[in-house]
Amino acid sequence: MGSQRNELLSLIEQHRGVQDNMTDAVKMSGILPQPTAWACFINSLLLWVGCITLGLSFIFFLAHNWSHMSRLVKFALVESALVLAILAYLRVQIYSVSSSAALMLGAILLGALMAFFGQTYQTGADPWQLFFYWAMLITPWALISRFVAIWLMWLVLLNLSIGLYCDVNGNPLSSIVEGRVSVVWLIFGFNTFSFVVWVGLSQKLQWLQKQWAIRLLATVAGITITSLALGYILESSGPSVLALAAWAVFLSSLYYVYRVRQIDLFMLAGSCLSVIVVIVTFIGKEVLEHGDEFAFLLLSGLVIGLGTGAAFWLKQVQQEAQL
Amino acid sequence: MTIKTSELWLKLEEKGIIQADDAKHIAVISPWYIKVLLAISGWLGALFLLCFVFIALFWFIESLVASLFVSVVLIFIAYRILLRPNNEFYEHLGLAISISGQVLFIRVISDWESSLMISLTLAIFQGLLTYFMPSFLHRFFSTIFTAGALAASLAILGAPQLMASGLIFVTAWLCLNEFSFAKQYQRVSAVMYGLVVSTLLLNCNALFGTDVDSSLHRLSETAMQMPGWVSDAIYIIALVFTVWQLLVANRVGLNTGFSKLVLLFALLLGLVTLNAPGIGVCLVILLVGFAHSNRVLVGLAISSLVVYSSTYYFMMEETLLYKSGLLLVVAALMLLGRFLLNSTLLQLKDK
Repeated sequence: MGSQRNELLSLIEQHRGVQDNMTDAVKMSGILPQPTAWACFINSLLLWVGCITLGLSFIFFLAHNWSHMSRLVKFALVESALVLAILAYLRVQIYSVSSSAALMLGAILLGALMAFFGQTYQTGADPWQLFFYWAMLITPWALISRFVAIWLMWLVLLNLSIGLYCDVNGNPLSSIVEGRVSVVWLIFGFNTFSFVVWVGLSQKLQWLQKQWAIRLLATVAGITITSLALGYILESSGPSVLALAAWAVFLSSLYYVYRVRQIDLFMLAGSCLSVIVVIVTFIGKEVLEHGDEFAFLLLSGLVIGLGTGAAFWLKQVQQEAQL
Repeated sequence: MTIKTSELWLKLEEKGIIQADDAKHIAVISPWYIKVLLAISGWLGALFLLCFVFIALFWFIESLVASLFVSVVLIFIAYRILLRPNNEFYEHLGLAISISGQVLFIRVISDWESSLMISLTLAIFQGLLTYFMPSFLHRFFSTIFTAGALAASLAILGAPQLMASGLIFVTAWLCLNEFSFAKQYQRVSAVMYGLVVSTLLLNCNALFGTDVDSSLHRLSETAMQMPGWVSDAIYIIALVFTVWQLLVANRVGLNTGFSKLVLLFALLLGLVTLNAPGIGVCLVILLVGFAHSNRVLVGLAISSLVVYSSTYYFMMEETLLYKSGLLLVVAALMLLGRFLLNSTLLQLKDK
């Protein structure tokens, strides 16, 4: 979808002949979807928006706690919807868009049911438990679904439960390492582990080879480790220099995998941004503490220089990848 | 694969539109994430440059006339720098200098008494920058600021939602006609992405949009308030207009039963999502993105839909029961629409 469009755009912007024969060029590029492609797209769009808004509608309804409807009716309503979603999954073709949508709806409704159960019987459970058990209960569905979005939802639920657990009980790492350890370390560890496992499994499982999902996981891991490195530079109160070391190891690994072994410009661009932010913060902190107004000019030049260098290098890699 | 051996190149060469030698002059376009990297470092560079200008030249720019002079000089220097083609260093430098000049300009006009004059002047100023500054990133950001300043002006005039609904028309039309401006493509594509982001921002700000609108309206010098139904009607017409444009672009006869059904569906969707315009707008961007295989627009629309759905829960204007009912109706409409679409398509197939 994207590569033909990018090719066409390169030609439109730089070739007069293509500009003069625009209609032909657009037709030949194949970027205009055929009627069958439109039908498939609209079909999936209507199904997905329908299922997700239906699931959200149940969550909103139960959260409102409408007093005109008895608890029994509410339980019956959400449980019937859950059963219907699973029946729909069983009826449609396996691994199709419809089966994935039915399982996704079921997964959302299960969460709504669990939240309503907690609200009704005041179980005294901590909020992290809701998200944790929700993730655990949908694991079998995620396993049979072979569908990326359900796995991402699973990961989001576990990330939420980690954050909420640490809010209540503190970071378990604090009992191992001396001093207070930020929850971001746990989030970074979990997401980096998920990223590595996902990339590893995607070598064998074709349905996991969705580039956007891999990039999303890498982005979350990258943001967390960069924020840890920044925290160390700005406060110097984290678990010593470990944050900077972990940041360096993480970026070196990304460089090795996505530059040396294969080329992925997105990963390299993200790494460059992280390097720029960390270097500028490090130098900025030193210079601004002792310097005068020219420190700002120096920092401005540094940012522009680093950004230019990164863009120049990325363009070279891009050209190399296209040879 | 090089551009010279690509399928499109070979087809165009076969038709005589391009020659083999032309490949030497075609540079590769950077993907969006490299542009984001450039933008972020440009902004960061501008921030530091601005701090320097403010501290070092404070004695000089204390005077508004001097500030205006420095701002114009900075923007002119940025313009001259950005005229140099395909050079990352100059693009960064130009962006940073221009942003510093713009902030100084805003400082000058922020002293004016009339809020309406401030926002209108800012809109005209940013509109001019969009037209003249020869850089994709600059035009992209200037478009967003133009749209934001115009929206603020309309909110001050008592028509807070007019820009948000009206912008859907322009955005959808430009996205579907982007290739009609071949000779101006660089300029048009930057404006197109800027308009898409502005439309999404203005329509998907479920959490604080109303607060911003009402605080802007408090700055108004008139008590005039545009009736809400005007922007509602524009929103619905914009949705139907987009679908109509899509049907025309795909050469589907408007008198066929299928077209009438699809237009009716768009009308109903507009009516149902009047109080949740983020849903309708995200779907519009998704459709126009798919129509030209634009993955950036599709990605933007999906992420905005996810963010909007999550923040919609916390919107204070309506009760959760109302929002639940609205989402239920949207779900029913979507699933019914799918059922009808499949029956219509199957009927067409049988024929």
